[in-house]
Amino acid sequence: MKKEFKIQLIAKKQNTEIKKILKLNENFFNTLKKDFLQSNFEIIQCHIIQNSTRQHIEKVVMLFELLLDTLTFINEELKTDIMLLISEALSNAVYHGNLKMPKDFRKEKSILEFEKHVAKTNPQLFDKQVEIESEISPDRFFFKITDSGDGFDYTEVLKQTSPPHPMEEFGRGIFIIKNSADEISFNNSGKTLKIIKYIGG
Amino acid sequence: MIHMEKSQEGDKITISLQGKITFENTGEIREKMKEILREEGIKHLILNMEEVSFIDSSGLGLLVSIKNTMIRKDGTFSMVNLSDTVRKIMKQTGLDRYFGIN
Repeated sequence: MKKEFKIQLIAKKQNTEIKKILKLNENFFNTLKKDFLQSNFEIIQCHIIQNSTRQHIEKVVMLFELLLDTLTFINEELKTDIMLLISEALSNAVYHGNLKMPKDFRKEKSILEFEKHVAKTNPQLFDKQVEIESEISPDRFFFKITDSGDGFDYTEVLKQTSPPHPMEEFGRGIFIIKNSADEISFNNSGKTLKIIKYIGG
Repeated sequence: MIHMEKSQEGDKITISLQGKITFENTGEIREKMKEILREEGIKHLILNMEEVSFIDSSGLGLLVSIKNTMIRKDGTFSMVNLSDTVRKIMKQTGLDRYFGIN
């Protein structure tokens, strides 16, 4: 495995289509701003390969936030739902899937401390990949995320229909995903999560 | 990532948060909160959420843990000035009642 961060963006409207590959360098936001953040595109597709570092996560979250702001068919409410879906799915893929954060770390310590722990004991874990394929169109938001972990038994998770008890500190991530999306499915032993949220109508 | 400001009046402390409360910064907020709550004599904790634009499941978990801590200390915890977005996310997860927001 190697360090990698690559975003392929395709944006379309009527007769125009632009395609760009963004890398994690000083030109990241300039390229994004110049080519994507000024026109009213109708469809945006992206294919992202990233590692399990905080820096990559933050960039990807920011990317989606900026892109959503440019789409006229995305109102505030949809934006909230979509950003929730992305944050929850991405943090699950990285911290649970790839980095295998143990439960007691979340309870007693913090993600930051966990990252320090990984940096000291097993830094190559940060090179584990997450792959995202996404499309935002006036019809729907599509998001497919695959981690490089061992997968998990998602059947219990899918059965759960009510939110965790209010006094419970953890376990709301998957509930939020189920609640904010219209369709979700796991594949690939739980390593791939596919989310659809309908926009049109 | 997150900006915090506190003001104290006797056993009541108000903390104003500014930014997003997500998995990226809950660790940092948790540490600061612990420090604040370690001080003797704080009975009532109020979070001013006016400038909080977004919260995810980690952020919700953090707020639950703060509320649980205050209850254990025989104190109170409340939130004021929630944005529509944050309110909606709390409703969605059934936390609006627990936090006493309408």
